[in-house]
Amino acid sequence: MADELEQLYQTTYQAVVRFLYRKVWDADRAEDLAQEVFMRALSHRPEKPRSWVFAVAANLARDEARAAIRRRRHLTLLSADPAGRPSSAPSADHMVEEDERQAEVRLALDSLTPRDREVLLLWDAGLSYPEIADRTGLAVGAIGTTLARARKRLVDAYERQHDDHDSAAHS
Amino acid sequence: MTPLHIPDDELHAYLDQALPRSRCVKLESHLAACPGCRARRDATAALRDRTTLLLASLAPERKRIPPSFEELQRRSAARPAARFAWRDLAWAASILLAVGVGYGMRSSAGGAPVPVPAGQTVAAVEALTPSPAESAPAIEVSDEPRARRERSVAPARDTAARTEDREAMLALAETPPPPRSTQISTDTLPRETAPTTGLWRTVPWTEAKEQMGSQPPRVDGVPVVEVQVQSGRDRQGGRPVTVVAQQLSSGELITTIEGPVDDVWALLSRRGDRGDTAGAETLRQGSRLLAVTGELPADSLRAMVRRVNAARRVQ
Repeated sequence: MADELEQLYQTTYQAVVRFLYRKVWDADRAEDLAQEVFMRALSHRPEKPRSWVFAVAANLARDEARAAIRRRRHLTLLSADPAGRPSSAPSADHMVEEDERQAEVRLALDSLTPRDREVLLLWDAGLSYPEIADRTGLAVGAIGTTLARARKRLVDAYERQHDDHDSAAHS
Repeated sequence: MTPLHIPDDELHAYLDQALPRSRCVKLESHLAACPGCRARRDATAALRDRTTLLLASLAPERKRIPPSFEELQRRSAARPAARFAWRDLAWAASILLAVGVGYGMRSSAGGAPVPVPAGQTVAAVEALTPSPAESAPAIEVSDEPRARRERSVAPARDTAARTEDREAMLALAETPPPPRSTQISTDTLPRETAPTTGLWRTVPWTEAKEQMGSQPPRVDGVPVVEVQVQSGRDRQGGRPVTVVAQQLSSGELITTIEGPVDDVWALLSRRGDRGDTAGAETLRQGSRLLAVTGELPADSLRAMVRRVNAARRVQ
């Protein structure tokens, strides 16, 4: 079991950090929570560790988001620098563009329904259809439908954001 | 050529390699003969790649080197050890207190009254109001600034509340089950768990159940570290006030208080007088009040109040 968890840690840690980052939007916190997830896995020894790890990560992220809202520590989407990135980087223009792009993608992601977003993030984290179904309670056959809708909505929402931003910049 | 075209969800599943091999063979033979489906497959592949690219831009910057797996194992192993050490200390403190209280009671029988600590574990005593300047609690729950006290009557149970309850249950489901009977000194707990007036007894879980006729209200699935019952206060012929202290796996202590409205409010306000600003959420039902307190966000406390109340209705 320890070997299995070690392998999972080596192969999945970064995916768990990414998954958490897209929920808490704080790089340091995402890493802290990812380590907490694996420490809990070590003490719980779950039967399906991969699916379990993402389930616990989602729960921790939800708790974190609630606490952050309550403490009013949440960064607003458009006014904040992305977490963990210095605001006075050398390639300022490039960084600004990247920040704007990231904010647009983030808004697009936030515009999805919680279920679509969860399925999309789990898929992007590398979970299989059965694992996503196990985590979300959806039927395996419904994952393809959900992903098809989520992908389309994400890209549509991003392009709308991007177009709005462009037209605002040129007006 | 297969007469029906390939639906979108199946194209996504095909590209995600989530279809059985036999189904893939059928799809591929259809794709070979159907230019329309081939075009849709290419569009789906482009959409899939675009999604991947967009999400990739949301990756955090790599700032820290993750700890080795061995380091995580060490940290994980250190947790239960620390908990056991704390429990052993609690027992030792409990025994010392019992001896001390016995000595104190013997002395008071022969002369001037001797103050008795609020954390009585052996017999019912009239507890004294401790001053805020008394010794610091053994468990420091959080280093973060304490939240302002928030008191509110929870709204009527609705669909959103039920969803919240389920979420709270999921978040708490990882904690170990409560022990059968735990009895420790309140001197090892933060002061907020120790009511300050009235005839209070710290009782084992089983005894509290017998005395109440049912389980004292508490958050299901979280270890109980102490149960206190205010004996002799059921003047309205109802159940006495109960205070159940529980510890979350993250270390935070929560307290569930249930009893006549005035008594529970008196307890809560006394905590306020002592400068304790931990949050409290309450739910009133007729002449009785249910309160959950702790260093947690108000919405978490509210969810716990609803859970406790729902569990009581089931009992």
